[in-house]
Amino acid sequence: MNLFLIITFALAAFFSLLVSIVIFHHFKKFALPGDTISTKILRISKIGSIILLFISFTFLIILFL
Amino acid sequence: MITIRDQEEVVLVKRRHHFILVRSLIFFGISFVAILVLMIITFFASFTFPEIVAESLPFLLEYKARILALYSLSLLALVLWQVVFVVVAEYYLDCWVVTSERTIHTELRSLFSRILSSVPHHRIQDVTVDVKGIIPTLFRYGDLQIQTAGQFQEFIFNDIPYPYDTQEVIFKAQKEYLRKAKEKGLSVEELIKKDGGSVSEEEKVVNY
Repeated sequence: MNLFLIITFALAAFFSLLVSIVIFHHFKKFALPGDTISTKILRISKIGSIILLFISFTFLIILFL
Repeated sequence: MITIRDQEEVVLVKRRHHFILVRSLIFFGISFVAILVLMIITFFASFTFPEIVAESLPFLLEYKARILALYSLSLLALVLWQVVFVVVAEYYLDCWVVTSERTIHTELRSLFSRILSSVPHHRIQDVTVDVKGIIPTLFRYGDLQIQTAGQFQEFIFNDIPYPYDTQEVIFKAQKEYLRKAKEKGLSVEELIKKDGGSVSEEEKVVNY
């Protein structure tokens, strides 16, 4: 069961990282020059992902304690 | 990146109407908010596993029910967060740019497929607006179709706000472009011959 919890976290984190990288790539490569809104969208996405990853990781650690 | 040439000016940038984004996001957005609310309730509530779960899955008893529920909900929230931003990226990166020389369309078809096409103004033969339905009429959005003399015969702006105004902008941009070409002594036929008389060099499909 411990292994299952770790694997689910790893899979979710990998999915999150993969999607973030691809979205960042698309915004950097194909956004219009001088577009400020895309920078804000990327920042919100990044901060939200980091917060949710941190929260999930915290609960995972608490489960093992 | 969409490359704008030195003497080229961006006249207009169009994306789909905000209603389309809201319609795409509404299910995921409500689900995400529901998960956050559930997490808050779970955090402050105290509960144990129901008897039926405790009997059928006894190995779960070593884990605190509340923390396990919070962990599961947080993972679900993380996945939904990414899905929401894929939808936002697909909306935001689908855009039509009208410049002083051409009209550019970029579309993110999926995470690993993208299309980028452009049509110079001298290839535009006709511009048609199509507003169908009650909601598009109320919210003033619709399709704008550019008929061209090229490989991509139809160039369609889907669900853009104020399509009639956009039609006028394109006509004005085309008129100005042809006027400047005439000043340089170039006719429409010469402009077409200049870019090879067939497909514009910028018209390409990018796939990953």
